[in-house]
Amino acid sequence: MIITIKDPDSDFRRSYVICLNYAIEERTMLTRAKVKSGSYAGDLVANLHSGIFHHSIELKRDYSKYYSVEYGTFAEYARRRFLFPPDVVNIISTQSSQTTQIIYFRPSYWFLEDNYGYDFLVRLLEPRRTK
Amino acid sequence: MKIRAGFVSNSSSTSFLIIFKDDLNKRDFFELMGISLDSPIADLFSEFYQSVLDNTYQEVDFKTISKDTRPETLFETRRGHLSDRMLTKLQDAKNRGLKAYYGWLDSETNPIQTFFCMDSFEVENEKIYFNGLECTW
Repeated sequence: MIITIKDPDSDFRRSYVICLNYAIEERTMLTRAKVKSGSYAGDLVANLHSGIFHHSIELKRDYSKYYSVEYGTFAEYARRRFLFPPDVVNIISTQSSQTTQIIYFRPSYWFLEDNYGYDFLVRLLEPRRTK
Repeated sequence: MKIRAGFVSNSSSTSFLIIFKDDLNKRDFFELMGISLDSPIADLFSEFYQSVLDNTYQEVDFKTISKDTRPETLFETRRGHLSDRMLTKLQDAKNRGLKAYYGWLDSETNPIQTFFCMDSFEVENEKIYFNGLECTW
């Protein structure tokens, strides 16, 4: 599941909460994208993969490792640490018991900031939903 | 991200140089970029390709190329410069009978073009050379 979070101060800025049951390997993402490793498109997808899986906060781990004492529940952590809207907090609280990873991804690629970004991420992270 | 030594405003544009043999086509462009035509993210590069087609301005006149030449007639009011790397590529294109074009991408048209406008890259294969690394203004 991918949840879009709109920036309240911007018409186009987006961040995403990505709930997954398993990490996706870079090679898998390159294959899904049908891009050649080492090419411009390949580097673009590899950097996107790195941004999601290596440079974003995995919320479940972050909570259990650093914040479980400070915040009594995962929902409280999500609400107070990230100021997620209540509907998002409810969803990821449910997802926390159903998925192994909840990644808070703030994209650096400009084209992921608009509505296009959600569809783009779904195609690479949840390809079955696009068929 | 390109580094620009000059005034930076909310909108921007950057130039590119593209060299190819005959006519530019989508299949060759995708091959250059390393993406399959049936990729689930092909639309991203289709938009990029269309932006290149729309904004490829004028064929380089090889007779006028020199280090301090204005980048052809594209930038009539802006005195630019060409790097040694670009000059070498243009000289090679001239010797091989290839076509060279300057164009530009801007940050106002759509988010996809904005991304490629701001990204910095140089890609080449046996059919196409694309310099999106050096902005000539």
